[in-house]
Amino acid sequence: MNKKSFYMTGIRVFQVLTLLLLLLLIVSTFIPQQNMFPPGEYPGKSNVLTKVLFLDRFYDSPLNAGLWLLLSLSMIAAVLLKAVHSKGQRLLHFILALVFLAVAFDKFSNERFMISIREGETLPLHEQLRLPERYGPQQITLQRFEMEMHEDGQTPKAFRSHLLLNDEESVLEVNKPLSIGPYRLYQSAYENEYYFLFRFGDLEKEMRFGDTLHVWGKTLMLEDYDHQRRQFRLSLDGESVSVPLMGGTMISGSAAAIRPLGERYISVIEVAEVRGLWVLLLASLLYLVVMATDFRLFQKDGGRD
Amino acid sequence: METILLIICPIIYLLAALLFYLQKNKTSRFLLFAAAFLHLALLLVRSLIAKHPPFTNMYETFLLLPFLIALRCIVWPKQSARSLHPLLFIISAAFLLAALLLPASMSDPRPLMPALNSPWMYIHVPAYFFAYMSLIVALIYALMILFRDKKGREAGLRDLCEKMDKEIRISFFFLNLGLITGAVWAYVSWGNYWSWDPKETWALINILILAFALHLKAPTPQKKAWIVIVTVLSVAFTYWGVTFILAGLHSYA
Repeated sequence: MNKKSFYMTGIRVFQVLTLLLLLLLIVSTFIPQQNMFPPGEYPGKSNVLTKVLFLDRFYDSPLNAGLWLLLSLSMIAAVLLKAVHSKGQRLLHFILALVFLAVAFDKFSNERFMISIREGETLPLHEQLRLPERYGPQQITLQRFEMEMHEDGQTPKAFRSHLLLNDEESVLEVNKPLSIGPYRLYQSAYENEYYFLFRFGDLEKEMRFGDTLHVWGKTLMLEDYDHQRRQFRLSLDGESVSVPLMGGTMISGSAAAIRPLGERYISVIEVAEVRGLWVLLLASLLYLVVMATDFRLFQKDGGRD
Repeated sequence: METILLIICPIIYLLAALLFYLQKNKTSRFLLFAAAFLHLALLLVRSLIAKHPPFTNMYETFLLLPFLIALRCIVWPKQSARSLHPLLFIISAAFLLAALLLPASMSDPRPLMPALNSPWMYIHVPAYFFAYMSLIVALIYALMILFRDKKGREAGLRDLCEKMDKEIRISFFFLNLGLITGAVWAYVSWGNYWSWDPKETWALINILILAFALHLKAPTPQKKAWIVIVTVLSVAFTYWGVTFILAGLHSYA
C-alpha cells in the first residue's frame, strides 16, 4: 500500500468508528441509563437491540470502551504509517490518542468513591485508600457542616465541611479539594436528615426515618411522615401503625409518641485517586496548543489549505 | 435600564444592517460601534443586577452571543466577508429580541450555585460561545455554497469554501477548548472530569460531527456545507433541547 491508500484507509476507519460512536451516543442520551437508578428500580424496558448494543448502560459498556480504544489505535497507526499528511497533524493525532489512553488508564486503574458522613460522625478511610504505610491510619470526622445562603434565602452560596482529617482540622469546600497522598477529597453534595425522639413506654430513643428498634421481641421501624394527615407511619413486625405529630397513641398497650428534634446535615464527599492525571491535563493542553498552531488560528493570512 | 437597553440595541443593529445594505458604510459602521457600546453596557448592567458574569442561563447567553458576533465584526472585520456583516447584525438583533421575549422565569437573575462560583466559568462558557459565533458565520457560508447559482465562478466557490474552512477550524478549536476547560472545572468541583452527563455527551457529539468536516475522503464544498448544517442543528439541540428535554448536571444552563 502506498501513502495515499494508507490515507484513504485511515479516513475510512475514522468515519466508520466515529459514525458508530455518534449513533450509539445520540441514542443512549435518550435512554435512561441503569447506573442512574438503584438496583431493581430501573424504569426502562430492555429489548434485544438495547441489550446487544448496551444502550441502557452504554457509557460503562465494553462496546463504548472498545470503540474509543479502536479510535485511539487507529490514530496511532495513522501516525506511525504516515497516513496523516503534515507533521503538525501527526503530532495532533498522536497527542489525542495519548489523551484517550490517559482517560482509559484513569478509568480502569484509579479508584473513585463517595462517602456520606453525618455531623459528629467518624469514618475510617484506610481500608478504602490504597496508601503506603507511612501515611498511617486514615480517619475522617465531620465536626460541623456549614451552609451559607444567598440573599434570597433559598439558594446555597457555599457549603463546607469542617473536618478532622487525621487529627488535623481542615475545611472542605466546593471547588477547593483537599489532598491525602495521591487522593483528593471533593465536597460533592449534601443531604438533610431529620431526627426524632421516639418514646415508647419507659424507653426513649433518637431515631431517623428508616431506623429500626427492637422492643419486646418485636421490630419497629420509623417509615415516614404523612404531611396530609400530620402523622408518622411506623411498621411493627410488618404491620402499619400511625402516630400523630401532636400527642401520641397506644401501641401494644404502651404509650408511644414522636417528637421532632430538628435536622442535621450529611456531607457527601467524593474521594478520587488522581495518579497519572497530570499526563491527561498536560496532553490536553498540548493538544489545544498544537491545534491552534496547526490550524493557524491566530495568523492573519487565514487557514491552512 | 436593562429592558431599555435590550430594546435599543436590536433597533440600532437593524439600522446598521439597513444602512450597510444602502451602502452607507461609514454611518453603518458608526452605528455598529454605538450598538456594541450599548450592548456592552447592557451586559454590565445585567452583571451588576445578577452579581455574576452574564453567562449562567439561557437569557444571559442570548445577550452574550450577539455581543461576540458584533465584537467580531469590529475587531476582526477582515476575517469574514464584508457582505456578511448586515446578516450578522440581523442575527445579533434577532437574539436580543428573542431574549426580550423570554418569560420572566427564564430571564430573572438567579444567584449562582456554589459549583458555578469558579474562575473556570470565565473560560469554559465564553469558549463555547466563541465556537457558536464561528459556527453561525460558517452556517452562512454553507448556505451561500448550497444555494449558489451553479453557473457561478469556480474561484468564488473556492473562496467561500476557504472562508468556511477557517470558521470550521475556529469553531472546532473553541469546542475543544470548552470541553477541556469544562472537564478541568468538573474535576476541581466534583472530582470527576467526565460524567457522561447529557450536555457533556452532546458537546462531544458536536465535536465528533465537526471532525467529519476535517476527515472527508473527497472533500467538496457541498459536503462540508452539509456537515456544518448538521453541526449547527446538533449545537442548537445541545443549547436548547438538552436543557429542556434531558435532565442532568447542566440543567441550569
